[in-house]
Amino acid sequence: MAAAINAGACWAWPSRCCNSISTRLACKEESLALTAPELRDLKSSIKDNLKGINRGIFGVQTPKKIAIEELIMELERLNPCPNPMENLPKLDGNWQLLYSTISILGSKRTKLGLRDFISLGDFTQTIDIAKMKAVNTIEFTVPAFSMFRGSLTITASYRITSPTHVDITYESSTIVPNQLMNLFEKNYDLLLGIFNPAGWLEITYLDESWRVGRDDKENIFLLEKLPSS
Amino acid sequence: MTSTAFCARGSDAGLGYQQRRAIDHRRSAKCWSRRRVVAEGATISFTADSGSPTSLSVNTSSPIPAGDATNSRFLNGVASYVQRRERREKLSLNEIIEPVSSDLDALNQNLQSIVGVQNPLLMSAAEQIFGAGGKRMRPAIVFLVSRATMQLARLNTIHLQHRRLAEITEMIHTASLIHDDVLDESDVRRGKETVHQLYGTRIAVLAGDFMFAQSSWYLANLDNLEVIKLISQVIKDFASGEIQQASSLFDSDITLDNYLDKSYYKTASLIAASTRSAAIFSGADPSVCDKMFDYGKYLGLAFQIVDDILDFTQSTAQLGKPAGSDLAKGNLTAPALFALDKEPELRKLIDSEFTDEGSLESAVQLVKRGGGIDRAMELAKQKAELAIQALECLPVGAARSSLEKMVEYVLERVF
Repeated sequence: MAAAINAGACWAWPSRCCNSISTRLACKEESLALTAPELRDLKSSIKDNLKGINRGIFGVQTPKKIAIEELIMELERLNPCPNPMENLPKLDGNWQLLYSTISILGSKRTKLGLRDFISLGDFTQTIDIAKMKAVNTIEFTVPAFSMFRGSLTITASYRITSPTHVDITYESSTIVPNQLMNLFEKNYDLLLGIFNPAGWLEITYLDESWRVGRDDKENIFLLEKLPSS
Repeated sequence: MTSTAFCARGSDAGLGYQQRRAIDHRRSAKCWSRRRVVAEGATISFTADSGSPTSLSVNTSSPIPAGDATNSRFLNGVASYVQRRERREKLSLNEIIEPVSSDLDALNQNLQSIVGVQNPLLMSAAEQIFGAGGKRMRPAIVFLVSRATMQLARLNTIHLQHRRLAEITEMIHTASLIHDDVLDESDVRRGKETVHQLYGTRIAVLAGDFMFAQSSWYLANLDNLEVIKLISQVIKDFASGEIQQASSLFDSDITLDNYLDKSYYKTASLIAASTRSAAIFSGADPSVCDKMFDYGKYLGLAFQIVDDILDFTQSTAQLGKPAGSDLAKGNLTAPALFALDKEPELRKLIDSEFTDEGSLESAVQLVKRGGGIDRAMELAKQKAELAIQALECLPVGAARSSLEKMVEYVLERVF
């Protein structure tokens, strides 16, 4: 998991990096010996393990959980970009959650209606490096009420504290549309408690398409870059 | 009615005011003196062809020498009662409902014709539903309460309304079972395939709706506003209970009161409303009607608690489904709630929704280890005791005896 910190070049780059080839080259130089096929295999192995578990949100059996975490650790060892904060352009844009250790089970799941009548859609995150903000969007589908879709949007700002760490501060949240807000009103605090990103985050793997982060609550997040529309 | 043995309570329970009204004043003095002498219960049989207890004969088993002749017969009766209890003979439901077996036969005939006459499809569904298999416990209780409360007025017959009430009760109960099977996606009920398994969900939902509607129609035609309100409330309570249960799945913080409320709505409500209504149709005093409501309520609660215990204790073969199925669905019942106090590990397993292999089995073990079963049984016995006490206003007789035995039967299901 160790992100090898280069004693030299990367530290010197200002946080507002430009999308220069030299930056990307600098990252690649620092990476451990890594072949494209190896990485592809590892990623497809991870994706195979993620099939059918709905991003882990409703519980994963312990053996599988351990297997996934080991694969992710393997990925982190091959991190081509140990100083992600020096490569903010890579972070910028839209990301989609593939897996996380956050789970909604037991009475929380019942109270939020996620057992019977509300389904979880995509989890997306938009990072804006210019404004230093991250916007997390969680989609919900309600099969009743003629299949309406809604979402919870949480806006947070981040502050870089080291080449690998950011501090995240919650700013605001909204639920659209109103009918969805009505459904969640009674348990809004519960909902926010689960999805609140506040705390710190360490980015332990970053490449052109994948990112792994670990937070102060020992959660792991695996996200995939979405093509910019 | 032929003579049937019944057991009166011992001296502490006392023959109350109602009994002394029902029994000839001369004999009531004897009973009063017997109560002073005897510590245990007695066995007395009524020859009740005329319906009113004009002859009072006492069963004797082994002779016990005693000064007073009537007291010795009384004590002999005590001995036989004690012997039977010691042999721990299990009660059979057929014995218990024997006093009303002809009423139940007529009920069976009527039910088939009520449901089937409109539609041949429903007729075959009706055969599936009302065919052999159902214990008819609820209508039996209605008939027994009807007969016992009519005895208060020294009458041996029951009204047509009583019969209709019993039919309505069974229809509502069966309708709820059909819908429950759809919701639970069960394939088997009472050893036969469920309606929705055989005919599809659509027919099952329609058959259930039809029976709820039909029972409401018959209920309205009984023309008694209090009874209409009581029974309509039950249908509302069924839904409330289900919703309450669905909203608290896997919630380890629910209280015992929440559980008892939910059990009342789901099970006891129907029995309590029907027993109270039976007393109303008998023209009984409001206090007797209240007591009959209490009897139904406590019997229903004891029944549900025992059901919940059996879900943990019976093996897969006996239950027809894996043990702990309530727990697996997140439905936390009395044994689990009691065990949660003692076993913190259980809460963790519940919160995880038993994702991991073997976690459900561990949870069942924890419930047993944490004394959940024993404490739940205590709770069931408490409710059963309250049910028995509620019967004290009834005249001694076959019907009252059967109602008492019904409570015992409910508890004995555990063993």
